Amino acid sequence: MEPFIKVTGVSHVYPNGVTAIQDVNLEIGEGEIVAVLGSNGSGKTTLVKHFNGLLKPTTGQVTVGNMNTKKERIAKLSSLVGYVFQNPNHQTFLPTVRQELYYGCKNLKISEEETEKRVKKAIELFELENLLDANPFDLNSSKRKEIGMASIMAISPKVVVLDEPTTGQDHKGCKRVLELVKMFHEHGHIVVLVTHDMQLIGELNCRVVIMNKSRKIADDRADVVFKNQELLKTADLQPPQVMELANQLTYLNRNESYLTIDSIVKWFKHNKKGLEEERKIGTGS
Amino acid sequence: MSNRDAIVVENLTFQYPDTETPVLKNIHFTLKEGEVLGIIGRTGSGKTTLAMCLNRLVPTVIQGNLEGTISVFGQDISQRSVADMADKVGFVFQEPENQLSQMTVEEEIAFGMGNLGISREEMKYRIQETLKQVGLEGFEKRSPLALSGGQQQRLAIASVMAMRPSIMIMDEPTSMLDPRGKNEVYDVLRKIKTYGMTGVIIDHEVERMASYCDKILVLDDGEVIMFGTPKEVFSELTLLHEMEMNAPQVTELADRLRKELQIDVGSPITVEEAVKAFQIVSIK
Amino acid sequence: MNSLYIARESMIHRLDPRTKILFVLFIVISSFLFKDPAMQLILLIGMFPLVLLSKLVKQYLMSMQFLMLFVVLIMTIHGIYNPIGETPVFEIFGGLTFKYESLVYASVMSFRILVIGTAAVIFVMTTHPSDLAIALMKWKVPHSIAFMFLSTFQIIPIIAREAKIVMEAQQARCLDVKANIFERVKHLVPLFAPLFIITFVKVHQLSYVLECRAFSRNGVKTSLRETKISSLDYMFISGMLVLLLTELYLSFAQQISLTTSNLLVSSLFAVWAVFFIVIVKFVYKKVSVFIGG
Repeated sequence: MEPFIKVTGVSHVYPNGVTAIQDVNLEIGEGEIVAVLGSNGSGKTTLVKHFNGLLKPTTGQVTVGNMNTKKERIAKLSSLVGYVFQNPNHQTFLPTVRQELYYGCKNLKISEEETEKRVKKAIELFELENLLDANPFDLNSSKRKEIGMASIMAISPKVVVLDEPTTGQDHKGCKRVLELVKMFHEHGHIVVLVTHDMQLIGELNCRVVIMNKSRKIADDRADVVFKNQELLKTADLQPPQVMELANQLTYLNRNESYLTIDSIVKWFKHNKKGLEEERKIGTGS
Repeated sequence: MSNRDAIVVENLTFQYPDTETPVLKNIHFTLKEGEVLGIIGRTGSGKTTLAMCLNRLVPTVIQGNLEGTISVFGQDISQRSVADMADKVGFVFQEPENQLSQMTVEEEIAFGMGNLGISREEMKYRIQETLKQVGLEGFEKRSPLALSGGQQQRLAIASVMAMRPSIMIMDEPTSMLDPRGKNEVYDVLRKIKTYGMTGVIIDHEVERMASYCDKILVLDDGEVIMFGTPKEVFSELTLLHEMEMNAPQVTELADRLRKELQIDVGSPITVEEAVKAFQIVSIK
Repeated sequence: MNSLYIARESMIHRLDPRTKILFVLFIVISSFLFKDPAMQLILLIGMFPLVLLSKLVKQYLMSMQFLMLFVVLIMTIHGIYNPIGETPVFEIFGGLTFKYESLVYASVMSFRILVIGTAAVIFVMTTHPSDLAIALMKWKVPHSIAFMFLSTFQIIPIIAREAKIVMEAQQARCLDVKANIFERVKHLVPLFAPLFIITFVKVHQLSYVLECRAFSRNGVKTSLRETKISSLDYMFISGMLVLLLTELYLSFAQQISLTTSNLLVSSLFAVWAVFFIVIVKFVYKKVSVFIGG
């Protein structure tokens, strides 16, 4: 089956002459969760903006659902690829949550019946029944970010791009984002994350694409990519704290990656017997 | 290190005019000179309001009803204005870009000093000094808007430091930055103690807070739930979890090993501590 | 780029902003003193050495291109259709006649635009906004107003960038910004409402920051940048004074008129020629980009 998003040999040069991405190839298929990592200026935002046609390739080609993005309107592409901006203030501005949810479908001019169906689904997904008449500006920043997400999901796009969903969020907010990403995945959406949050990626253990100096330098599962410490350093990425610990505990299984607290607890569960016999474990071999 | 009290907060209660309950309720704590205090708590727990009380942004600019007393180095600040406090208590905000108002880096740093009436000679000296402290030497003539987020935030810190405050308050100074920017800013913040400053920082990243702060204050719904060393605070995992907060990952890991597998490695709060603790795993 | 200011080492740059404000005033007054196109032309040519001195000839010419559009329109349309015209000067394509009085009127108006435009461009391109703010404060303009003036320069590029993000963010909500004109008018709300909110938040936060930088503190304020009236400024100001007195004498006592129909016609042709060159250059650029890929 054809991948839903196909990026072939894409370079993008901005009008000021800066080359933001160079010769990138990428395929994203059904049911995938893909995290695009890299420091600011690495080209990761430029790359994902090609998915809904906000940017068009200078050379190369991007196809979304078999459509060449160069030939389609952004409004149409946006109904397939929902893009949730980092700052909800850029996207939401209406006085009630309800209006925010209807807004995207109204722009698309789809039938009333279909609109109702899509909005209803978003209300259920985000459990917004009691918040419909609330003013998004009266809600706290986490909730407002969630309304931003809901208003994009109400369009019912096949793909959802989340730009820095956990930035500035507290622990509870981060956990909620993790929950939502898993939920979108279960509902059959392709999820693209643009993020610096390594704990989030550790928990998801999803596919990771690393951008550095306008090029794609890695594309694999998180546990594989994160093993390469040189690579993380090049891209200015700091692994989750548990992984830093695991890297220094030589008695753990070197063939495994320990991205989460769970993974280390699991190792101890399996090896508890051995530990009890030895009583002590040295760091040396 | 001296034993002077830098900040003493007593019975502090604050309520915004249009609300029914106070955002800060009967807050007490004392911070010694040269210490760094970390304030943690959920979104909306009152962290920023508390920090803003310390330099009088609350209640003079952001108005409301404030009760209780705050003293800074033994002096009651209740009659002071924010501008009055500026050379004693510096404030670094979350968004780097919103703190910039001038055309060049050197003018940005000079702006605060100009309001204090500092001479041009002294300005030039302090500009060089602070640029060095934040690692932005050679950026004098650049436009602040052309800098990266991490550089902009370091510039904001330099602008505050040039006014030579003895206390520096930082409200989520790295939350909007990428990992590189975060590291750059934390590298600067780590040094403020060596410049003889006392610090107050708000941040969600408990891993960084554990190794950076001397004291941690846990705020929930406007009340101080815990106040103590990072070790004391992060050991109280059950309490933190009740407030939907977390401890550093290594502490959480140690806790789960103890509860689920009866493996006791104590309560490490940094990677270094954890490595040591995990070298000898004893089983009860 | 934050403002229109362009840094150069030049005599004009070194002048105190207050001198330059006086200069702009002087030019505006001079330009309105004379009802004679020839005198306007002399003023315009007279200012060119200053442009040379400021080492910004290229930038100056670039910014004048835009004004040329107005000049061409005024000269051509007024020259033909302005009802005050009586004496025909010359005729193009059967029937369309340029008249002397209309041309005088049109060329005074267009040269005035160029004269005042030139003075303004010299001022803006050679004056650092911070210096301007300081100079204004020396004229006892309140600190906060001088600052507002300065921060306006600073916030414009930020708003422009935010506007672009809002545009993209709304397109991501399926807003079709390339729709027909009626649709687009409706789209102003989703574009301006977020921009307004974001700007408001930014300005609000900046006001806190300024307070924390002791903005409203009483007492003497100092500045990193030095602005001093030097002997150069005195020379410049005396020069302007002498010229102004001469101009007053000339315009009231003498009632001179140097304008001839030849001058008017050649100015008209010159304006057309310059405009034609600008257009050709513009088209050439577009085409070469298009061909170059």
